[in-house]
Amino acid sequence: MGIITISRGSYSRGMEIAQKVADNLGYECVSREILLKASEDFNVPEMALTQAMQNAPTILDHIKHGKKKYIAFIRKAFLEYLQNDNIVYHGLAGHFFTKDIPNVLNVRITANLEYRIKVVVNRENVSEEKAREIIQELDEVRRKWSMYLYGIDTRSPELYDIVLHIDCIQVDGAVEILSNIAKRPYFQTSTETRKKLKDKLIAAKAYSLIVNNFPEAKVGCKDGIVLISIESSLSVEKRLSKKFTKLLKDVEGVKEVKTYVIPFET
Amino acid sequence: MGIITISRGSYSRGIEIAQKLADKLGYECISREVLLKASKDFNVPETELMHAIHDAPSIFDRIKDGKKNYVAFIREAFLEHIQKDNVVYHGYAGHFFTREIPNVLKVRIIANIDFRVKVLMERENVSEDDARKLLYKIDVERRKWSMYLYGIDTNETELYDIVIHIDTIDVDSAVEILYDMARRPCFQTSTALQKKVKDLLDAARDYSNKSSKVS
Repeated sequence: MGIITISRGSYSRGMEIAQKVADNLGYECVSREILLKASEDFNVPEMALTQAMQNAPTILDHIKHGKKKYIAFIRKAFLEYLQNDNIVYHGLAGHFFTKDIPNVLNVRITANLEYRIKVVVNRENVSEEKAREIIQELDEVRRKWSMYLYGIDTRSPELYDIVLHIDCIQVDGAVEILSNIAKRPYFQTSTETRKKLKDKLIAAKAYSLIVNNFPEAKVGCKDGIVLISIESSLSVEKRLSKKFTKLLKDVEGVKEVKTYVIPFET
Repeated sequence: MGIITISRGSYSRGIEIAQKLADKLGYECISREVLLKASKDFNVPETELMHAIHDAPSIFDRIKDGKKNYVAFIREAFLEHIQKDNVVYHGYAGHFFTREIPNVLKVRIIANIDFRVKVLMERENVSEDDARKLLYKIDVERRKWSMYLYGIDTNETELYDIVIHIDTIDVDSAVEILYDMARRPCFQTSTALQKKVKDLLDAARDYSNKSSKVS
């Protein structure tokens, strides 16, 4: 019983590894399913969500927060999936979405540039030079994306429990090693994991309901009590508090909504 | 039969992992031994070698290449050690020295800054503030050192076969995971490995012969 997220450098065969680990452990392997669910739940085209996850932020994103909104939707869908347990998620942002959730195994798969170039050449039927360009561009977009949203590069090893380089051990070696790690006691879903997952989902649902008007709000949840902090004028605290309580009253699991206004700097 | 290098963030409990892994595999665990050998073979004080492999390069180093010569001596001593096979090396530069050698298991052990601060405070009996400052300084030195000599940051994951974060994975689990890795066919000493080590060692001996004649 456990949850694994696999972040993969593009063309590092991480998808194949995720599927095989899931088969090995009898877990469900999910990736695009999350986007499909978010697309259906929030009535947003899947393409728009894919772009929000894949493209580097534009200047407009910094002003309009469009990307933040879509990512909030995806986060909610992701956390709903995780409630089922026994999941291997591969794709973008899994390690960010599971931050602070104990007992989740966060993995990154990497490969040397030369190895990845070979994979691109074979898979996309392009020249070596073109393959190099494709990879460098993808890596840069990824870096910008994660710096914009989380202030840290996706490649930073601190984000993961394990980083595996597959040049030497190859796909099957990586699958065996990861399956063995996933079976360790620490990476079994615990009561604490479930509790945290539940609270995270409530917070994600709450944020997805207010993100349109309050993209800068910070939303957390502890034991069903939702905490919203927002930078605004102190005079509107009461009004906002009432508004949020009303907006979130039907969200499953919410016991109370607390609003904290952080006064604008004068 | 194999060779393992363990690069460790300072105060990340990498030494303990290296020693336990070596015991479990029946390999020799080495670190300072390499410096002692280089010191003896080339008649250079150990502290000077230690500075060469530890401190960030000064402007003087950049002009005189003094650090590079000392690192070459250490590298030669290192290659001689690993030629014996069945070795776990922990310490500086192992992953750089073995970069072109196939079938060597290259490991990095990292820990969150808060974890390292705690270890440092306990071990050296210093305040949290001092521990944080010291770790920052050590990390910057390390980065400068590897950028100067090899043009790549020690923290880059591409340098390693596996990076283990020991906050969630404890020391004993890390040892078991590495034991599992080390026994895989691709990390067994091969003819290609032996040949490469020999070639590198021959080249290193040539280099140190020439540089000692020059000086």
